[in-house]
Amino acid sequence: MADVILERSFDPPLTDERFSEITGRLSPCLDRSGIQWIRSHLSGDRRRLICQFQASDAGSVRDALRQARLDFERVWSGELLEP
Amino acid sequence: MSSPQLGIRLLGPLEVLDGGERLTLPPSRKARALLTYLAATGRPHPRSSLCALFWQDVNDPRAGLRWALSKLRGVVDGEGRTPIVSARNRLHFDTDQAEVDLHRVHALVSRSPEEASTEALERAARSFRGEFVEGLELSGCHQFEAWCMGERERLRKLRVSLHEILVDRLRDEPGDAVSHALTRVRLDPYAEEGYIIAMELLAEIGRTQKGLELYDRCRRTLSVELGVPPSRELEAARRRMKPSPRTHPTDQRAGWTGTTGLDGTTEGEIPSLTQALANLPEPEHLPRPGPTDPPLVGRSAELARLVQAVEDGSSRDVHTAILLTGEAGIGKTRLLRELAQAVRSDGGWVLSGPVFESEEVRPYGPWADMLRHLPQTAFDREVRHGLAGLLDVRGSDVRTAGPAERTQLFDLAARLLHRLTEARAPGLVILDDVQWLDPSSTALLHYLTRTLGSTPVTFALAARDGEVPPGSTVARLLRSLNRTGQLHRTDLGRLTASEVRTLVHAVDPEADAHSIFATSEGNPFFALAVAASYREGIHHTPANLQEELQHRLERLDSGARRLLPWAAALGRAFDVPTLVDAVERPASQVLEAMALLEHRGILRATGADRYDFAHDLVREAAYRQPSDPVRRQIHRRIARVLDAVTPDKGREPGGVAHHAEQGGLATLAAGAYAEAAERSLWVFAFDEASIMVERGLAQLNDVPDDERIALEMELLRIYSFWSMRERRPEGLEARVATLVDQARAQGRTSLVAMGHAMQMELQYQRGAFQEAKESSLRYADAGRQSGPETAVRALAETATCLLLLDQAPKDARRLAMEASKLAGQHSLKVDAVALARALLDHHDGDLEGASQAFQDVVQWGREANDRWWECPAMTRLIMVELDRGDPERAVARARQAQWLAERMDHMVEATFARALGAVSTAWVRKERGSGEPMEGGSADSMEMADRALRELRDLDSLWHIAQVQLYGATVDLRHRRVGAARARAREALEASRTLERPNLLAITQALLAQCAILEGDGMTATAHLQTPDVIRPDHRLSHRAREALAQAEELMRTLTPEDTPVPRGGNEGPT
Repeated sequence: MADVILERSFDPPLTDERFSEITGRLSPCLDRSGIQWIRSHLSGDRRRLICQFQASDAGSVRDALRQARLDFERVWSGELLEP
Repeated sequence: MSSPQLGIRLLGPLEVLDGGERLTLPPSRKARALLTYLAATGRPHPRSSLCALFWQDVNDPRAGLRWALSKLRGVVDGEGRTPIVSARNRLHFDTDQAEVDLHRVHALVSRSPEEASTEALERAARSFRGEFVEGLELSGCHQFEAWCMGERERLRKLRVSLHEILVDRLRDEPGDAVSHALTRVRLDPYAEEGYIIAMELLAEIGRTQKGLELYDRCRRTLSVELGVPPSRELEAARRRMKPSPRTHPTDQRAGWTGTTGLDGTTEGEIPSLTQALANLPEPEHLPRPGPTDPPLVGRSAELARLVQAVEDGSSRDVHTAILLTGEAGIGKTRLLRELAQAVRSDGGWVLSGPVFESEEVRPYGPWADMLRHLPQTAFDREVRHGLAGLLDVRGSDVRTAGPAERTQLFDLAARLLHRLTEARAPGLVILDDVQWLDPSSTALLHYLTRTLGSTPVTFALAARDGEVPPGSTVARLLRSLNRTGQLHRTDLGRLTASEVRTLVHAVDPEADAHSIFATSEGNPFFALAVAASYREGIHHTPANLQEELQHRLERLDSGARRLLPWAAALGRAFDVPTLVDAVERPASQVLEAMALLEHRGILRATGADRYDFAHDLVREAAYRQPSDPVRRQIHRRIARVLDAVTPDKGREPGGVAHHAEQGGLATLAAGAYAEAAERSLWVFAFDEASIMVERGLAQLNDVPDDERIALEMELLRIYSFWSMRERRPEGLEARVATLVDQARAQGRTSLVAMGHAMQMELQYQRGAFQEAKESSLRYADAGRQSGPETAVRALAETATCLLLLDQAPKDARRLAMEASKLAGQHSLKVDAVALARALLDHHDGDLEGASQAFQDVVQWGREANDRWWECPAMTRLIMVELDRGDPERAVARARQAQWLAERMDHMVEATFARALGAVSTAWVRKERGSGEPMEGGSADSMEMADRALRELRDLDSLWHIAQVQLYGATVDLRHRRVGAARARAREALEASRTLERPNLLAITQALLAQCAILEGDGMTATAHLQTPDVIRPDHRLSHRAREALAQAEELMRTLTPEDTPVPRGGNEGPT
């Protein structure tokens, strides 16, 4: 499994309702693809979101987002570096 | 423009015709060969080449050529016609001035046989009279011989392909398909699959004996010429064939006096329906009374009343059913046999299907068994097509064939019976032991009694006293018929003392009739059993019939006696090969025991390889013989044997499911019930489906957890069908949600997908569109309302998701079909619906349909200003063109897709398009080049593809990488770059395994097998083709995967047996 990062911007800023809608829409797609959502970071101004997933590859995350009709800026596989 | 007068026939012995009249050819073989070469190629050849081809060994080749031309012109030239044209130093045959059969066939199947219409294929097939210029041999002209051999082999393969496709297309018309199947066998005698299909078709049209001969021929060919044993599939096909009843020594079905030869030609006449009905084979379980049967005693009055009832029924407007009741052994079946004989003697016809206790949930079992004996002429096209599911016709796709609801199915059955009575009357339909009749059969019977009106068909039923459960569908039917005055009931009582005396003295004049009457109390079967004991010198007084039967069985030879519980457990008439497999004893021992049991009146033969018990009571006694634990083991063993040979467990619910349940094989039973339940749905047997689901669920307590979730999901899935909504248990949705959570916790993504699809379906049916959205992929924009379009999109996008992930294909198909239907009803053009359809068509190999549907995705998206799926659809179009074998169009598609994706900033799709474009270009350059090895242009293109692959690896998109590598490997194999192809396939394998995509895995293993074959390594190739990635009985692979495997299998045939030793085990495939 790979660590996959999603980057996305929001304009206007992301509301809680919109976030619920996104997660509600995305969850079944992630489920079917065997993708696990680990965590997300939302900037203070609520305009930038970074999500971390565990998935077989970045392509699977992109496909799940496409299925859920969710835009994204970048999705990439990475390596976790910790102090 | 009128057809040319001159005809050149190359597809068989060489012939030249003028206006239909055969012309005399020059005796010179070189002249004939020259004509063949010019007419077949149809293009100009330098004179020097022709001289080198035919006259290399003579002093003056040109003189030889001039001579031959003069002879040929004397034949082919006519008024205003000079087809052999000389221009400068070249010669060619002008095919506009003649009709050449070879060119006609090429025109009919111009692109590929799969794309030609059925009519074109049939015309092409008919053009062949034999092999290419059959009999024309020209030893000494090696180049011509080599060319000729190549053409013969190419055309032989084409011909095999034509017949193969025709068999597939005409599968629902076995009478039409069988000649093509037999021709295919003749042309390709080493292909076992051809024999299997031909055997199945012959069985379907009642030519079972011919099918068995074909099996023998196949075995001999495999053994003598190839030195290999028959495959499991061939043996299973042999077992599935039911030989003709023994009373019909020749394979004559319902009066057919024709024969179908192995060359596919049919001789003799097909009898009319009237003649065929006059010669209907007797039902196995109701043979006509014969000289060895005891006489019918004490039933003359009852028989006369029954015969009168049949006559009366023929002249009434309201339908009548006859019911015989009585205790076991009282003679109900015997009376039915007499009644059947009386009807036949009166010029009528009789149909009957056996009813067995173990098949109480086999929907329409007795009807299917009885109608299968009808001749083909009984069925018009609509009836045959509509009843295919009920008749369990192999090859029919029950899900899409046939009527849309039960009433339509029943109407077709009524129409069939009516048609029979128009040809011959009266008709008699017998159903014995109706206490065990399944609900669907009962419903059909009820419908027929209500709707057949004045049609002269009588239904004769028999039931054991006190054994029809009061609340059952049968009980309700009988009450209803009684209420409406449609039931003619006869209760059979016991015989008098004098009648018993007449009966037993007919069998043994010395029998002590008085004692026998006292013991049997007038039950005829009991009386005869006791008489038989007395004849053997056993004078005892059994308390009841069961005790008498037990005594009789105990007196048998131990070998025969030990066999009986196995035969009884099989539950119905059984065939000897199945029994032999089950008991694991030599066939000779089993046959010896069968003969003894037949002699002792325990069994009777019903066919060449088939037996049944002389009476149900004997079977019941034999079944009770062993203890419960032993009986359980017997069922367990039978379940395993049947599971090994039954390709579709659902076809016989009384089979694997029943025995596995009785044998305590919970997992096998649950799975078999799930399959059987689904099959029941497609013939509207909803009650039976529900019973099977519950029986399957009852098994789950004994199933290990890791298997339980999948089985429970499969079983509950049946309830998600619209037609089962009234039978759904409480709390079904919550139960499914729990299963989804459990599957997710175990990481079983395919089960999660299936569960989501079920939830989607249940919520959609409930009208809960909002919840359905949440369960699906589509979340409405703020302004979008719930309604049909939302539901359409939800269904279609769920289907699409499943298809893209290669998961739950059956559910995906169902959801896609529902979405399409709903969209059609509301005239909606939704790109997701087109996408689902396109993916399904691509999966199924309908490349034309897929191409059109992907283009619809693009078009509809643009019209709706919603271009979400446009890029994926465009890149999929590249794949469709590659699968079609048209790399030039693939290159064009790739350019369009790349351009669009770059504009829309979809970098993955753009890179993918670029990679596929490069692979396609390499392929095009290969086609245009002079052959192997890979030349400059192709190599450059593949290098471009590799650069794009590096980018795809950076983007970490395994699916795209796998696809590019698989197409790339195919091109490498065309160049015979086996090492490069293997390296690509290995990366594709790793990607496919990570993604768990069954189709990609199968294609990859097929390509790896091809690599091994090209290196002469049959063992490795076999290992690749036998991995679980390839052999997936529960997953129908895509057309592309099946094609790749078929190519690998065909390539395998080029290996010698030395290249293919038996692999030693392990089924993961070589690493």
